[in-house]
Amino acid sequence: MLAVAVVFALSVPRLKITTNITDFLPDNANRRAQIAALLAQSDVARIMIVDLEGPDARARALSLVDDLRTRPEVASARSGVTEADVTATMEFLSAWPPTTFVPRAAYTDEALRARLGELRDQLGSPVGVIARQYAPRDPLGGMWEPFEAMRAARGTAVIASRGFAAARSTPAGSAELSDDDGVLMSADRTHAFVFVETRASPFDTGAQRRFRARLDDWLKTSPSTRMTTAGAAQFAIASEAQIKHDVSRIATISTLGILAIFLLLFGSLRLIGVGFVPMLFGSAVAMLATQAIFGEVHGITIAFGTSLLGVGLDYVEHYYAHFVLTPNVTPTTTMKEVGPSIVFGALTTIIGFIGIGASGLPGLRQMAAFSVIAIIASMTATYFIVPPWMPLRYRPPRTLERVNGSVLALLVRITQVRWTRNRRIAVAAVLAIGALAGLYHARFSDNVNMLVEQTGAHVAADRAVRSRLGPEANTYAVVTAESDDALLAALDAATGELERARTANVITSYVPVGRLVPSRDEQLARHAAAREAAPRIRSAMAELDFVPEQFQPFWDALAQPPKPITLRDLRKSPLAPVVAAWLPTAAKPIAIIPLYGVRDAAALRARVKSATIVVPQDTIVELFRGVRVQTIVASGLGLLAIFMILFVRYRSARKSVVALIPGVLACAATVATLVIAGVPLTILHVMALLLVVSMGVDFGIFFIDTVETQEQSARTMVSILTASITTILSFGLLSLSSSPGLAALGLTVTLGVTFGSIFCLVIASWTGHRASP
Amino acid sequence: MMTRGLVALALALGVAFAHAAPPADEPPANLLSAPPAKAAALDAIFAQFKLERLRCKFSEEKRIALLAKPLRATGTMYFSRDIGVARLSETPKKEQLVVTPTVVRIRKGTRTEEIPLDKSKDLKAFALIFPTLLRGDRAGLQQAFTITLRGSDKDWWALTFVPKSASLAKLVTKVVVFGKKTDLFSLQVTEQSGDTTNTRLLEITKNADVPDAELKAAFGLQ
Repeated sequence: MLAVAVVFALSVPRLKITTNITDFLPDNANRRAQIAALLAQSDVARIMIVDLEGPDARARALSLVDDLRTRPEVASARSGVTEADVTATMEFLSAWPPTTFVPRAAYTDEALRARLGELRDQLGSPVGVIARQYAPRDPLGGMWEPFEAMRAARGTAVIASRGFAAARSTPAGSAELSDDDGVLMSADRTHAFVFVETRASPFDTGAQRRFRARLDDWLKTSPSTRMTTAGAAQFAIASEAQIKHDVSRIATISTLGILAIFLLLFGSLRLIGVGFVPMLFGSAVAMLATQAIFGEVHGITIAFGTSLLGVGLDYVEHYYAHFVLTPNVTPTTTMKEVGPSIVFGALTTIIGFIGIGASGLPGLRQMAAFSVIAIIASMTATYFIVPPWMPLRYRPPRTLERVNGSVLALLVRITQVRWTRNRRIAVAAVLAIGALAGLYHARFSDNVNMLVEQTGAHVAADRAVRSRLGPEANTYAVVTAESDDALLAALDAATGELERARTANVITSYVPVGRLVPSRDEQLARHAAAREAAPRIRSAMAELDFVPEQFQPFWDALAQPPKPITLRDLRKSPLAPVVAAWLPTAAKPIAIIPLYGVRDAAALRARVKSATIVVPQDTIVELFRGVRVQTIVASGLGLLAIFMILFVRYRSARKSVVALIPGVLACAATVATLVIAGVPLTILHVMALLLVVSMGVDFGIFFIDTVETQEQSARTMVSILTASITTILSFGLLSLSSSPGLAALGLTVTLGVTFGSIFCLVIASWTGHRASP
Repeated sequence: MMTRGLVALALALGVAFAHAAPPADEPPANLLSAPPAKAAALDAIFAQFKLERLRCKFSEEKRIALLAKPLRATGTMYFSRDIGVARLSETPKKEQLVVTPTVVRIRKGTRTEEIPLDKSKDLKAFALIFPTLLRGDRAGLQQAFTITLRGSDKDWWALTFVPKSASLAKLVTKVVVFGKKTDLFSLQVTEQSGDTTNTRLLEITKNADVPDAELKAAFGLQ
């Protein structure tokens, strides 16, 4: 134990705490699940948008970009597109064969005439001087295709490409933005936007807090500027602060409450001190093991673990109640009597947590692992460490005797109630009908937003900034492949399908990522098509009064062997910011195509076979529905497993059922209460109900194991009531959390434990008169 | 015989005269080879350009090495001190081109294309020569160009703009604006490639004589 304490003390500073929401996304083999998780972790999600408002917003944005670029913790900082960006991009694009970006469809006679006619118009325009520079080498205008692709981008793309998309035009329906010489601004020029990517993950709250402090320091140099930000980092910081606040509040109040209850009931500082040992030991071991297994501990695991302290105390309380109320029995003997119930109770609770672990969410798996380890460790500590430290001489306070007396009187009274067959059937029918009605009317919600707080300054700021940048895509066509080139080939196919879908009015527009770089085969085919079309290009030129000989660089390029551009080349180019957003670097090559104005996702899926159409919000809801169903099935199986274990132990179906009753009925009553209160049930309610069943079964086991005399039953009831109160203290406080997820967990467990203890009295009434001498 | 001889002489002289001197409404051929005027003379020219509005017809001819034949365009041009220049081409195609200090907007039928000028300082300097000149902003022009005046505001004059930066010189070698007294006559652009553009300005109307509604329509503001 000392070793654990030392290791824990040394490990605390090294504990890696995370609040990454993607830990609560399913990590199963579902393709859309993986894509949804990838989108949540993509570069777009990593970028922080800084919105500077004020009379000199533009100058401040430039100053901020300059300042951020000197900081080692910043990977990139930019606003709009600078002249240098455009020059570098044009230089890069013109370094590849002029056929690279010209689609093969451009080599029909009609298309050739159209392209050359366009060139003639450009040359005739007052700004034809630019076209004139590139025309001899690129008469068909291939170099402008990637620019057109970027121009077609909007919404998310504005963020994704750090302003590249706003360089050319603002499509209808999007926010009015302008790019003022490298600074992306609102049309009224009161807001300037800076896009920042830190080297640290946005979920690394320590690094993000430090970065935020530096931003605030910078802001002090410009009192007339107002700064608002958007991005995952501020959610992570707010989330961490909220969890810390919840944890410290729960820990403080529940510890004080538990101390008061212990003092009141057991009246011994020694008992209080020893009583806390198993739970602290269990928490320390669980924390260290979780860090070792998962490499980090999630903030929600810590919050949940803090609440579990009350549960870890149940075993001690059960032991204490029997030890204190039977002063003539030695501590070790008492443990031998109640120990099997404690071990058995722990076993059934562990089975409940295994159900949670099977939910398929990494975050919940971690919570389950933490809980199982904490329960095993605290149960072991209770069994082996507590008895030797019990005082040899001990006089229990009168409070406990009074409570015990009252409970005994209550038991005597309720066990006098005659449970006739008809009455039992009537009660069972009422409960069954209530449970079925509750389930029938239950509303389930699998919207993940139900689990995350949607209020607060950070949420309002995020929404305000994003609304100024225009609509964001909420649907994506995602293409994956085994290699970069296979990806580009698949992207070619997907782009063709999307174009047909756009023509058919299934979508309004899409970001033509495929036009940024074609596959190697396509580039070779384009080069061959251009060579084959050379005589016709000459004819079309002559027809439109061009002088073909003036285009010698173009003819020379056609004579050269093709030099295909690769995704790697693009990733090292000035277009890298765009590539990073739509073609992120991942273990498996992937392309993300933002889609706009999707009218019918199902129709789109039918048309676009080369890509997976993902609506992240719907996908996540769908996934959570699957997780919920999976958890319910796991719970059912868990319950069956618990029943089997109970049956193996008691060799009696009746006893096994009775032991299950407090948990199962508490679960049904909790659902009914939540349904009556109009609370939609989420995955966390389902998991909390699993906890309720586990703890209720603990109560049932404790009770069934100690029904030889009513005095013994009374002592167990005292331990159950004490355990209920300490659990309610923990989870009841959790129900006040501003995190909807934690609050749901807290409320459900609080209701469940309350009902569980009430139903213990019901089974006491039911079975007590038979068991009493 | 003599009569015929005189006629022949007259014709010959006429031909010779026609070769030796341009018609009265064209700048003299030797204008650009004349010695530059003193810097102070520029003030008088720029003073007359502090215009609020202007409307004129234009007739343009571009000689581009890539094309076997010159490109010709005609239409109407508008200037608004607050907005910039709008050029409405009638031939060979209907097209609206608006140049503001920040963007060049080209509208052909239903299609509109915008070219932000802040992405190329050189293109910006080039595209804004004419509106900056009409505003009489000599200092603005001198940032990017060396300005030389030949002739004077008493008769024909030519303002030559030679780029100061090497990058701008890669686009245009020089821009010459011809005028007579207080009137603009034409613009001549010579590109680094040797291509030239001559834009003749006709039927010039200035300031209050250009109706509000017409100006707004030209810029696509109504």
